[in-house]
Amino acid sequence: MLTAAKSYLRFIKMSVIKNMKAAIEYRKSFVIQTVFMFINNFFFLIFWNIVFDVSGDNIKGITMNDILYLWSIPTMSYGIAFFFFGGAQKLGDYIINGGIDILLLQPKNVIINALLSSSDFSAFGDLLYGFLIGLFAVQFDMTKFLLLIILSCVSALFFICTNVILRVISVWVGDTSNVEHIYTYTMLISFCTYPENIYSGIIKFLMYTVVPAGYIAFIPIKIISAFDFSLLLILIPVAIIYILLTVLICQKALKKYESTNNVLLRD
Amino acid sequence: MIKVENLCKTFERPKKKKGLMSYLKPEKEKFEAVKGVSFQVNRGEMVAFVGPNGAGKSTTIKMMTGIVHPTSGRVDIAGLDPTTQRKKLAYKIGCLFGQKSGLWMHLPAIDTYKLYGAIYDIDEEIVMKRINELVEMFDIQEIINVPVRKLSLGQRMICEIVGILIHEPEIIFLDEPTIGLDIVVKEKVRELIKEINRRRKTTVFLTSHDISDVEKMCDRVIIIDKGTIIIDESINKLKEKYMREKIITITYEENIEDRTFDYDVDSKEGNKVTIRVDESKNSVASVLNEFLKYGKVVDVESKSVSLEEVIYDIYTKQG
Repeated sequence: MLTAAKSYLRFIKMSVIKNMKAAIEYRKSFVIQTVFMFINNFFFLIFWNIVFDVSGDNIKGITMNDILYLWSIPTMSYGIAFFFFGGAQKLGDYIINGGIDILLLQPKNVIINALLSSSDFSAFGDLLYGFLIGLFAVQFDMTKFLLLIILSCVSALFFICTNVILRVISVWVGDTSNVEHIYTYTMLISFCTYPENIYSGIIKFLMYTVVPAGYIAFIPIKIISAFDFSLLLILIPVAIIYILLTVLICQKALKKYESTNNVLLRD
Repeated sequence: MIKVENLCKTFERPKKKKGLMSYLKPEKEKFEAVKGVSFQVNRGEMVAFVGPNGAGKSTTIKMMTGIVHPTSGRVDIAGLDPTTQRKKLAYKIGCLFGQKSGLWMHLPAIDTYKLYGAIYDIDEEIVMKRINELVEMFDIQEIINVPVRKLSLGQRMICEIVGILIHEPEIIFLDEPTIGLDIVVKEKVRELIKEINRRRKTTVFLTSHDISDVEKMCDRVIIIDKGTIIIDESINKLKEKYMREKIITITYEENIEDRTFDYDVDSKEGNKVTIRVDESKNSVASVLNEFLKYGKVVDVESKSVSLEEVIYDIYTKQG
């Protein structure tokens, strides 16, 4: 067990180094993508700032500090998920084009291997942005900031799991990249980056079930801002359920996987 | 080392569409890609597994390496079952798919090799030692630090071969290792594979459409067509059996297209006639004597049937 854990840690470390080297190989593209993602995210804060300037510092109990939290945890967790495990976004392609073959020939878990196979450079911009905005959100309280980083790692698991599930179902239904794109950006991230109290009814139900915005953003924010650790009793079991569900679906998908003979290059 | 018994694989594929209902409720049909394939390969053997496109070669290799699960039958690779012991098997085999790259194209090959060290749980010092040995053996010192995307196809293929040898596999599966390469690089790749086989007694299981690969590298050939093995022979026996024929082209001084010959001829064109002589039945000299009576001969050209032509004949006769 310990040997296996050591083996996977070394594999993860070497994969991260490999992905960093790939980022450095294209340093100009990497810097441009990081900066532009940072600017993209920053514009949302500028708009919120304008709204608060117009409507006062408190809109139905929502302050600018709440908005900083809402933008720090989801962006940092998205950054962690896809900068380090960017292969999740390529799983569908791997399945459709037979790229899983190479991974099946190696003595590591196929899905972990696929997740570590590449990095989304622009996600580094999200990671950096979430990190900096997080410092302002916790008002430089280092205990809260450490907690924010740890909980962002937990939130990252939800991004990875939902992404993997939506990509591996390609085995049954074909290309799902558009569905995944709509799910992640139009639903999940949009839900995460607006205050919880504007949602109700069916939307709120969805946010705590199939579109886990509640677990990515709202519960971690409550834990940090109110130091309410009892909420971990909800967050951790739900995270475990998401992981188990992902593993189960991946196992079924790999059984169903049929290789193809397409010409393929790894990038 | 390799034992395959009665291996079968059936895929489901959509039936040809007729009418709107077939789009709403598509019907599926079963397609048998591999039908009861059996063979054994001993340690250190170099075996070619050939067949026309769609014969079932890749599906068989994929079942032998754990990529695809068989519908029925048994596969034993180095004492392991690829379906249930895929991860254990991965340490013992190396696979090269000419059409799929194991290297990261943005990075130099050495970075992929180092990552392979972590994937195959090889101590960092040992990995570096093995990389250095292979780099020297394959003479790739100058390209090892160049991003793979900047390498020529031949250089990339040699780097791919080095990649599958880092964990010192007992068996290597090579699926079209010389596809798209020029003749100089092809020859180099063949020599390197033979060298690995000589040095380490590595078993080589090769598929290729280039019959020169088969002739120059392998001791034995297994021919598969429509999912069934039709020939499993040593290359020497295959040559003895099928390469007894000589192809002789006789050039006459005059046009012989209208002549009738007592001997079966392959072709007649202008003043040239081509015949095949089975040396187990007739001597070339006696047949030539026969043909001298049809006119004044100005030239005679004789050549043996190549292995490529033999295999082509086997494919077409099966078809």
